[in-house]
Amino acid sequence: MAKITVQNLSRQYKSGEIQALRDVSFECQDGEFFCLLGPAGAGKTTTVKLVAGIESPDGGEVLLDDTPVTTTEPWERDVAVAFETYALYPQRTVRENLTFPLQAPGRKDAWPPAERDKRVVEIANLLGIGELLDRFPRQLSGGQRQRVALGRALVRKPKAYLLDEPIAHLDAKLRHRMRGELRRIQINLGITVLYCTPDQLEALSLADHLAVLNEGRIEQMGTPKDVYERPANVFVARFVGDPPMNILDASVDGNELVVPELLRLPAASAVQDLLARNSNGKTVKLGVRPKDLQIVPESSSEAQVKLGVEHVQVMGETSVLTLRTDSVELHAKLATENAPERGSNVGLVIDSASCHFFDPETERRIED
Amino acid sequence: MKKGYIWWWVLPSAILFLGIILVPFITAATYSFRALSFTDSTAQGQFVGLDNYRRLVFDKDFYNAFKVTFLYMIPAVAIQAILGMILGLVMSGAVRRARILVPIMLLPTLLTPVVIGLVGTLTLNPDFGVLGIPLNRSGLIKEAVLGSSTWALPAIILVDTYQWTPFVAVILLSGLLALPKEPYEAAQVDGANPLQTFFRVTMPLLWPYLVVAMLIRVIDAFRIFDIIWVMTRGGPGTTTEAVGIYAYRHMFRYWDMGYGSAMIMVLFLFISIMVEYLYKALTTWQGAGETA
Repeated sequence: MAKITVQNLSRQYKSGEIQALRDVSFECQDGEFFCLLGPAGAGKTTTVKLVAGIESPDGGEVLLDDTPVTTTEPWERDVAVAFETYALYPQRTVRENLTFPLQAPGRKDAWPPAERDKRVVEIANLLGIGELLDRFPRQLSGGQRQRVALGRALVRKPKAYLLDEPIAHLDAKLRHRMRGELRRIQINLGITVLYCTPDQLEALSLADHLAVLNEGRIEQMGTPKDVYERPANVFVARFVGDPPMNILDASVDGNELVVPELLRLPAASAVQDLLARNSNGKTVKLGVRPKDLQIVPESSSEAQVKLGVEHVQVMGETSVLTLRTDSVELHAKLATENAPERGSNVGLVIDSASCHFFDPETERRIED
Repeated sequence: MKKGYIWWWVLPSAILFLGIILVPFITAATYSFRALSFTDSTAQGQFVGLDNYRRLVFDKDFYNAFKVTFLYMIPAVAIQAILGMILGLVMSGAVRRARILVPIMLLPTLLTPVVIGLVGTLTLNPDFGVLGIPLNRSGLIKEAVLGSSTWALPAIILVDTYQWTPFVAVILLSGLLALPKEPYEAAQVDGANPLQTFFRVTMPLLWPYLVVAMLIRVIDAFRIFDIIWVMTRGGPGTTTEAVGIYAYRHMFRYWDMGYGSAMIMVLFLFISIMVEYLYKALTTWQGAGETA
């Protein structure tokens, strides 16, 4: 296993029309599960291709175990890739698809036939495709194909695994199981995994460290806890967490925060200090996670504002409320048993200590 | 709108279709059951049942014509498929930058076969042909190529290949340019060598295109007439007398319309059955048409 280091990587497409990556740097430690999280088109797949050596960067370096490999051919880098689009060999059985990486020229010697066959069956069983070994890719469902694609990466013992949305096309239940399985495999084998996903929940639950990518740039890097609790900017704040964080324009008025046409809330002294020191004194973007919006009865004296419940989305144990005034839409998350009726009015309480503050111009986090 | 009204819109193309395809076909079909010859006063178009077909069954020259057709078709289509594939692969690298190459490459295919046949005849002429002179002087082929019962058919195959290889190449080229990139990337990471990449990735993905190109070529090759007519008129002897030439001879040389029509019908049936069978055989090849 190895450490993956990426330094100042950049990549353009269509002779500069599309800047897929801009100055991306990160380090994925030996034996670490590192997630690249970002929406479609953020540059995740490009990063994987550059690390694998399928494409060459326009600038920057890729290092494996501190050895530069930027100009090394893909097969010499000894990394395994699972492609989102499967990329299976169509006229070969599942078994042959899984065996090929072990018998390709240059790797043959490392895998004697008996051991090779054993390994293929072992991986196939691990992924629950043991019975499908003699089928052809066209005879498999999307989810099954994806597991074969994942298997083709896992079957080898390379320096690192690059998994590009490897479980995106599985059904929800299987995806949940595979998430657990992947993490278990990774920890047991102590392997280095670079993992791409657009699913924030997947990234948060799997990663040791994650990097949030957007438009080819890293917006934030850190542990899942860091990224969730201290989002570096408005983009990360809204991308990580479901439903997205509520972002409101607010201004500071003495010891109160004012959200125009909505509410005034008392600012805790720590918050007052923070804003006095860091903001331009007047306006901020105030972020509050749906779970931190407290819903109280309409008549409660605590209520800072009264709002109509436009919509109630029951998601099992929790429900998501859509609250609306003429100008603002807010999402609140609470236990389903406490959820009000659609069309009713509720009172809202926001505790300034649970709020995140961002600079209105740069959208960067305001912190100590 | 009244429902009947709609038929007026289809009428022009219906007339065209009926006039140039269906009527001649049905005419030929009915002729094949009649004794109709312009040189035989007893054959005035009277109905003779399957007589023409019975005659065909015992016609040794007809079997020879089939044999010649296959001797020409199989190597011609095979060589064109292989050369077309090579040409397509070479072109796919260059064509993204130089689209103009495609029409230039297609020139031989765009010319009429008669012209190509004439070019072939001149090229192979032992007295002044670009290929004919060296072949003759070096003693490789002592006789005139087109007058040789050994070399006349290969010469026709050569000229046919010259005309049709670009056509196969362009079909394969359009396929190559449309192939997904990921399987190639996977093969790269897996460490496949170029030959493995070709047989594991390119061939299976390109197979449907190859099937189409080969089917078109098989149908065309079976009906070959013009190139052979211009180059050898079926000779020497009957060594290049393909079915098309043989049928032409009977219809427009001996003016035996009934017998010639029967030949055309057999040819038509044969092509239909062969294409149907070939298509099934080719498409059931593992993974054909799938891009899993």
